[in-house]
Amino acid sequence: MKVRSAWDRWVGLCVRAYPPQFRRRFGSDLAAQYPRPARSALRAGLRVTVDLVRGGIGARIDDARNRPAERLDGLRTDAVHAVRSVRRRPLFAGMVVATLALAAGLNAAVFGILDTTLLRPLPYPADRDLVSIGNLWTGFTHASVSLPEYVDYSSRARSFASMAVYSNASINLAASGSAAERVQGTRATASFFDVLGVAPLLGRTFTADEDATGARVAVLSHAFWMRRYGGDPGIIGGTLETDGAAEEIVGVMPASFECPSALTDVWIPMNLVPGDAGGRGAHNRRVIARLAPGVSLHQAQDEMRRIASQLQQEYADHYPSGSGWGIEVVPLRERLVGDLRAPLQALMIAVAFVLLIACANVANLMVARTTERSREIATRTAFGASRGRLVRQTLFEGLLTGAGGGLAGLLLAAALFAALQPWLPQDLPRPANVLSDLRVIAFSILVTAGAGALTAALTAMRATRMPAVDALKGARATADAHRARALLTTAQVSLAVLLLVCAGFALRSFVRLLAIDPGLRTDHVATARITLSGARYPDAAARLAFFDRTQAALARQPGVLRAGAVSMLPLTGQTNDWTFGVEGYVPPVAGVPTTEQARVVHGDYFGLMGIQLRAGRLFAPSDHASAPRVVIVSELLARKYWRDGDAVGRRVRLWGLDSDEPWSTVVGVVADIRHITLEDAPVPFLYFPLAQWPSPNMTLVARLDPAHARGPQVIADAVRTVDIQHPT
Amino acid sequence: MPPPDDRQPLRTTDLLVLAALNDGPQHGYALTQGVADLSRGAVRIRPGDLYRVLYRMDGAGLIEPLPDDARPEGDERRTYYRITPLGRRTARDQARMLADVCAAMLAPRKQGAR
Repeated sequence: MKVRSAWDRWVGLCVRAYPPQFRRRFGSDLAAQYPRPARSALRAGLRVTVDLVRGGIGARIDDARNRPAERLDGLRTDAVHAVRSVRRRPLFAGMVVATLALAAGLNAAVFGILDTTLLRPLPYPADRDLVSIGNLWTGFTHASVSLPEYVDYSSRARSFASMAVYSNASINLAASGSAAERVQGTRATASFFDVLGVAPLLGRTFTADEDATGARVAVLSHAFWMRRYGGDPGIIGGTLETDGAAEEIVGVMPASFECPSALTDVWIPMNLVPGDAGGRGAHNRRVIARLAPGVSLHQAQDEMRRIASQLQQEYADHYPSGSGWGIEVVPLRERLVGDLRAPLQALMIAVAFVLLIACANVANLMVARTTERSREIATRTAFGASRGRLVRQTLFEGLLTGAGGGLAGLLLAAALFAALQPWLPQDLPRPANVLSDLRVIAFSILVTAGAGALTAALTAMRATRMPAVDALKGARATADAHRARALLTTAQVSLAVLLLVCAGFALRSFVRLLAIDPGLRTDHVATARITLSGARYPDAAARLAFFDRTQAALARQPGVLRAGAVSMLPLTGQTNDWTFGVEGYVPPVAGVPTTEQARVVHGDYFGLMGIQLRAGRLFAPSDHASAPRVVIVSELLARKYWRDGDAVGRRVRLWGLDSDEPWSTVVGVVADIRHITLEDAPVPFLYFPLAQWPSPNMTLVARLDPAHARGPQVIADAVRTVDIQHPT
Repeated sequence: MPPPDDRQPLRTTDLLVLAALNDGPQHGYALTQGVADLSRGAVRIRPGDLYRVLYRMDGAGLIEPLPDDARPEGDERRTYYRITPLGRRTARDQARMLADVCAAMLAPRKQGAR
């Protein structure tokens, strides 16, 4: 017998690309057309491979085209057989469906979130060209921008087709007819809508003229229009009665327009008067821009870097060399989802592992099942069923159970998605229901049907490879299956261990987070944000009187143990730093102003939050507006600026040592608290009394008696006794 | 396999293979040569494609392999193919149709036509 050379074997293998019937007839003849070449066997081999694979695929396509009816018939038989086989063992099928459903549900829910947040474009035309521009400081990235800075950026930069600045504005709606309501407004330049490239649904947006003259016009969000006006199309030209003023409603935006966040109800002009743009140091605006055609992000970043160094020279006192000041340009999407990317990707990997484990589990069940069925398979083989046919039938079974698992998984995914909603950032557009997302449905059906079919086909291929005689006798099958199951179990256990280790790490950091003592008590505390309208409360005395009376009314409410107010609630991630000078303290870097976190407090804020007094005293009624200025500092601040840590009696001057502000004397030192977030370590803090800093924006806080049934409603009740028309 | 649709024109390669078999049974390699000669070198069929064509035409009943005992002396190893009566008829019909087309294309133009 002639030994087949490697060449012949390779050609033989390539010929297998042709359908079996073809091979029976022409196989050897075709192979004979490719004799072993004398030289350059590699190139010839490559040519033969391409030639035969192409011809083989063509022949198979011809085959399928010529016999569609026959093929479909076979498929139908296989499908019927698969359904029957699944129904014969409902417990087995149920287990497979449940396992896959669990994995598919998790995967679909997480994929749904991933899809809406990371994969899908923002709902603005050419969203890749949208960027967010922020300031860089040592220790801060993408910080807010001041109006003069915006004016400089937009007038000097050539990389952008348009640029806009916006900031949040609370708007109190007057109680005319309907209830008084506090709505979330966004103050923006007219270019805001151009940058995002979205046309209004009704009416128009602001013009640059209105922007400059401070016209009283307003554009409504779709949600607000529906909520307050029931979607009345005649609202254009109507007035929005705000406290003491009336804004003309000029437009309504489409529902998909949710910028800067889904909570925005009304957009009003920025009223950007040239030369009167406010202080360069008042960093409280956000800037977005659209890249000019043909300009890359990189070029824009380079240009802004050049502008930053120009500005740094022109305004050396604002941007001292030690401050690490710079301008940052990042894609808008990055800005919106940046923090979410890593955890979402980790979650996706984790649930993908769960799916792998589920697959191993299903494969294990299938192997057990094939062992059980090896007799059936052998009998059918003996009766002439081809291997391909048997594999195909098992594949159908897998597809069927897999798709069942996918459907059940989708229901689970819908529930999970709804449960995960509150954790998604508000400024990202997303569907309310995961099932409205076709891509998610396709993903999960594909994943589970694929997983089911793959495991089924693999196990079937093992089972059918066994000689029929052995199988009929029931031999070897067990040994073979044992090996397969041992392998699957090993894979499953190692995947599970990997996942458990990761879960352990995650759990540990979570437990550590829970164990953190923020230094304050947040249980049974009710809060309500108040923004006093400038029209009703024009001066400091009126504002202070309002908060004094509200505080007293609140304290009188039944079930309220203590009442107070603060300019910014702790643990909300918000920061607000004030610049000040410390008597007798020389900053390590000359010229860099000392800034620390500062809050305005009122009433029994420290007591109700459980913030401990360490030295000195708390604010007293004697610290009124005309009394000497006082301040309370945190322990960290005391230790940072006074070497002995003994701060009581020392003095600070707001806005810097050379400012016109009178000295503020430290009257007390309180314990450090985690004010910004639970993860952020405590930072130095200054607290000022509302009596001396009458801010119109305060959050009322009340400690409630847990035994008393009334909830946060008490604050609204208290406010109403003071000012019936004021919204809370 | 269903018989080929009469109205469906044969593919060029199929017609060329039938034409090459018109003079008598041939084996695979000679067929590629014959096709190349007939088309004046314009059509070169690779063996992988040739057998695909043969497979298709065999299925359609246009050609058939020569029985083993009918092979020429000394060349029993290679398979020879011959044209079937159906194949001959189909090829002729096709050739006639093409001849009409060619005649129309090559005829002198009518006056006034551009």
